Amino acid sequence: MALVRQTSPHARGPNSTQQVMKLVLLAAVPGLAVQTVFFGWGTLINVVWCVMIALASEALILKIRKRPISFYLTDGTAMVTALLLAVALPPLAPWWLTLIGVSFAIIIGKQLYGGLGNNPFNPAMLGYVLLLISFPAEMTQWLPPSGIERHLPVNGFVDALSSIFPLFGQGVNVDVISMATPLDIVRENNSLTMTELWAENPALQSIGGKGWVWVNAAYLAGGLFLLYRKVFTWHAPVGMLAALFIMSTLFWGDGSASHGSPLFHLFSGATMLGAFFIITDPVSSATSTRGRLIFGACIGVLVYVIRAWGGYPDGIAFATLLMNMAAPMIDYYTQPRTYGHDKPKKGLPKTD
Amino acid sequence: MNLPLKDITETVQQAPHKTWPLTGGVHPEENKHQSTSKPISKASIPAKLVLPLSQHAGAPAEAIVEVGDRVLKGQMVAKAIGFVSVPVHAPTSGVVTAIDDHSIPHPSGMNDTCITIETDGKDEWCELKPVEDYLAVEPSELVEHIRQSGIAGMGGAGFPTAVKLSPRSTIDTLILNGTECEPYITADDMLMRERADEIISGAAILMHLLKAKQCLIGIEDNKPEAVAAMKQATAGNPSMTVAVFPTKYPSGGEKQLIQILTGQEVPSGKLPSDLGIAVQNVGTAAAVHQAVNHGKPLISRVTTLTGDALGDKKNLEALLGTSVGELLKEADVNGRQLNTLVMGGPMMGFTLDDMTVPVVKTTNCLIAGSSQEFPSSIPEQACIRCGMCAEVCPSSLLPQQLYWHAKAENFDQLKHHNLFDCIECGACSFVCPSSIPLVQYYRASKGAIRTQEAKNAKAERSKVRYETRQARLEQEQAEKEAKRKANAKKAAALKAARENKDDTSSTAATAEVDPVKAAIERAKAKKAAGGASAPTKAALSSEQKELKIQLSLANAQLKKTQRALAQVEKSGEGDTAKLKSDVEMLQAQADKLQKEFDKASAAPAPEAAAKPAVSADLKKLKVESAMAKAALKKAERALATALEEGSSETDALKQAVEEQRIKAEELAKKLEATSAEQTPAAPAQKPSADDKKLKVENAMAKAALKKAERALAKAQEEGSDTAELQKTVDECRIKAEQMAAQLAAVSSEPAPAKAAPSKPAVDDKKLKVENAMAKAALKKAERALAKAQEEGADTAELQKTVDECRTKAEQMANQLAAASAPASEKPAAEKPVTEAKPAADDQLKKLKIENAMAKAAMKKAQRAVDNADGDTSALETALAEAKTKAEAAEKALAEHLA
Repeated sequence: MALVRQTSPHARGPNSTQQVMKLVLLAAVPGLAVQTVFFGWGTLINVVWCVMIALASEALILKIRKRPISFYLTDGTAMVTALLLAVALPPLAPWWLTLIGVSFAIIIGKQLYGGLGNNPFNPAMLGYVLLLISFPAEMTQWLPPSGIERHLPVNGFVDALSSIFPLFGQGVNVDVISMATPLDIVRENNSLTMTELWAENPALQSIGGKGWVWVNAAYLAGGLFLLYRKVFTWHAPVGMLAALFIMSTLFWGDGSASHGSPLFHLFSGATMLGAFFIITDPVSSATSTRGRLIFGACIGVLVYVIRAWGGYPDGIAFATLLMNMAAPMIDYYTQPRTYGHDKPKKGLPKTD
Repeated sequence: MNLPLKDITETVQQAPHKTWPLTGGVHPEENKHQSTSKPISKASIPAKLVLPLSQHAGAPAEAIVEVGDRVLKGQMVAKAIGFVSVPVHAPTSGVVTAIDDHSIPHPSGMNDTCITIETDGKDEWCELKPVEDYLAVEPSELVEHIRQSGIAGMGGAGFPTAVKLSPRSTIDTLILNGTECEPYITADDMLMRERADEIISGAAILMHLLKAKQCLIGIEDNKPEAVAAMKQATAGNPSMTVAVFPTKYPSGGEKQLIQILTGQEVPSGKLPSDLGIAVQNVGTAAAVHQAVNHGKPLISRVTTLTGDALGDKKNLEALLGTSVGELLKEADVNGRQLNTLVMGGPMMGFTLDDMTVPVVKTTNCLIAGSSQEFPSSIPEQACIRCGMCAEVCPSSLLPQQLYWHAKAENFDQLKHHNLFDCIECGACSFVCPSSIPLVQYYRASKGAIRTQEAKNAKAERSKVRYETRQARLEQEQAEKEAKRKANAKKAAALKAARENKDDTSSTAATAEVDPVKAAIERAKAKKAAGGASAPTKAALSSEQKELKIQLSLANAQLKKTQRALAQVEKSGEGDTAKLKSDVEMLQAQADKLQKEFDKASAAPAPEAAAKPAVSADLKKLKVESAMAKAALKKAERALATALEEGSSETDALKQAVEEQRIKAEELAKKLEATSAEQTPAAPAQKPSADDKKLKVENAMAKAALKKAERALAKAQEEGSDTAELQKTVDECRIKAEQMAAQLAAVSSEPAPAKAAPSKPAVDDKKLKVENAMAKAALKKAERALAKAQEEGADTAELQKTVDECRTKAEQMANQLAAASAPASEKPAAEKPVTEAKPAADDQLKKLKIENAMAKAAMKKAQRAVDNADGDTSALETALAEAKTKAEAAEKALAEHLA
């Protein structure tokens, strides 16, 4: 009789990385559904295409690195990266744009740093920023949400598919039908008061812009579900949303100089997606709870700064990457106070 | 579970004690109900009991029985050694059958000394000595009674209870730990349910001893029956409070329980007693009651037997020493299902792979798990820094950061992140989604850091030692300063003279000056050197006339020092200060020798007459002394390395160094004594040195000649142009002959000049060697001639060579005979023998050749030893061998000659 020898603890909880990633994917479903409803099939097609590229590039690198492929592929992290990048891309982004973005995110952003757990930057945001800087035209061709008379949204599956993959036929001319996002409209405005702007622009219905408010609400719901399931703690999302709220209240402004209301900022663009799905990526964020609060708050401030005074309509990606760089330092200064110690330790250890 | 608890709380009517929440914590599946359905039963007495001498934290007990002794139940079989230690008692009556190594319950599965008792089934008690009225007894006596009853903490760590009862600070709160937060374990639960009175009685004794004002009994809310029983037992006792708090692992950790019950934290690196708190397990309290009120030592304990592989899960009161296998049998174990056997709980317990290990004082649970219950650990995935571990850590550490730094072996960061505040509860590993065995990383890192710190401490100690030594050496150096300065002058003069000589000889070698001229020049240089040193010597000791003797001695010393110094400078490693001190030592020795010679010179010179053999002794001693010194140096170096590395062998090495030093000193003394005795014999060495050089040159010339001859022979064979080669051969031959002549002249010169009876023997030897060499050359030439004749080649030239060689050999033989004549009693006889008996001569020749060869080998070995700066032990062995051989050869030769 050979009795097993192993070290304690012998009991293990039900947690697993796969489980965590599954929950994240599940929580993204409402947001994805709403996005599809408002912006057409392009979003879903992008998701599938992104997942395929992500898995393929991850498998390729794992093979080159001589790592067990199925063991790492099944952890679901590549799929989460792909999903986050897919929903951040314009719905009718051409196939090659997606290919570049996702493969860059997985290969350069994740695997070349050593794979899961070793990447200093959020891979999805790295891919997104690469595309935003390299292909600004393609990356800003957002479709008008459905329900807007002036613009024909691409609702047909075939239309969307052939727009993304011209191989399948003649797609729609994205240039013709694309329009600015609400954040863009508000940022570009310098003549109208907010009321006038809202009255004039059909895309600016409700607080966050037509469609966008629902997309944000859906991601908020998904995020609350993840909080409930304790996939992450409240610190980073609350930090970011609170900071964004405070910033947008402080710098609200009147008339044509207004940057938009706090609620507009909370429910427009990628705010909720960012707060609950992007900045909560544990690998590249700060790791202590206090650290995450600071991490989230700094992102909230940066997002507002970029939105209000920067050169880009939304700033989640830039803000996240900037704070990713600061995460290790935040970690050093936010150690919790250990049991039996008077104060938490700070900074780096003193070395002789 | 909450409802019945509320009911019970209400029935007992006690104000609930305020509790504080536990930081972090997890909720593993409790699995406690399986083993609580039956009351505690007594395990049967097994045929054999194995009692480890170390069942507690601290020093192991020492056996006080012997094999074959009959022991009674409760009789002490091993006594406590030291303050943090407790004795061991016989759990039943029987006979001691062994006191030896046996597997013990330990995570490593190690063996330790155990007393084995073969039980007799009579279960016969020894005389019990209960304490009549513990309130009337001196507290220290009572503590000693508890100590002698073998009581150690029964919660898991096994810390001797008596130690905890002798705190440095005053205690106002006694906390009884009935938390039992680990899954599966119900031993304390059942004990509280069934023996609450015993526990409370024990608690009262503990309170009395600690002079505690209150007693808090902490129990998790998943044990309502135990809570009820304990509340009932404490009813009417205002100083005792049962505190119930939510079930969460690891509430039962000492520090955690203090936090929960008092809201205070035990400062890092301090003890609960610093807060005025003492924590004891409920089982320990019951054991104290048994010991004080009934006089029964700790010989049994309640152990939970549970796990899927057991048919009958229950709590057994087992005799200490009962093997785990026996107990599992009583619980109806299913051997096929049993996959993992855990002693303790599933969170902090350890696996056993041996069923013969005994139950000890800390064994609160045995889990016979099936493979479904404890599946083998799944592969570790990458840490995603999710922070779940940090949320559950009861010490508020950052396990994810600790893991990161543990993997990188960044010890500074680990300490900065308070690794040593980790209680290894396993909550982080439990929740880790990536299945990382975090606790194991921390254990390994703690071990590595402790090792490193021990090493650092050792290095610090050796640094201090080294610095002290340096200071001492410097002082010694300063003390010798005056002496050194005086010697330096002398040494400089000698060195200058030597360099002069060396220069000339090297010029001669490179420029291929006529050897005769070179020899003359050398002779001049020698004279110059003598002249240069003469005034110095004269100034130093004007009355002394044996300048040459002193010179040779000083030369030898100087050579040695110079070589050592050169070596250090060349290698650039090692302790220059040390070597310098060595140099000084040698100089001092030279001085001493000189003085001693001064004294000895007053004695008649003939003293030295019979001493050629002794001079060899001196040489040998010197070599030995040098070897001993080298060995000492080596040992010291090894010691230094060992100290640096913090190796455990330093003690042995230190001893070795001491031994070597003693040996070296002895040899040095001996050498001194011998050399003092033999100084007059020394002059023989001086000409011999010159001779040596000449001989070397001679040999070289001969070798060149031989080579040229070989080339010529080859050329002749091949039929190529031999004129050029022939010329070379002739030149070489002339040179060789000249060298030989010179050598002969030089070696014969000192003998008459000295006229010392000691000379002839030395010269004799030399001559013999030369004779042997000449003969060898002759033989070779003859062989070459024979070969040439066989081949029908031109033999005229070779014939000539042979003739020459023969002539030379004869000359050498003559010379030898002449030289040995004054030394030997019958010179006339000697010569005829050599000449008339070629047959006998053959053997002599052979012996001489052998002798020469052995000496050459020895010299070579000596040179190798001198030059080698690495491991010289092998070389030294070789040298010793060569020496032995040379001596044997010489002896043989001497015998033959005699």
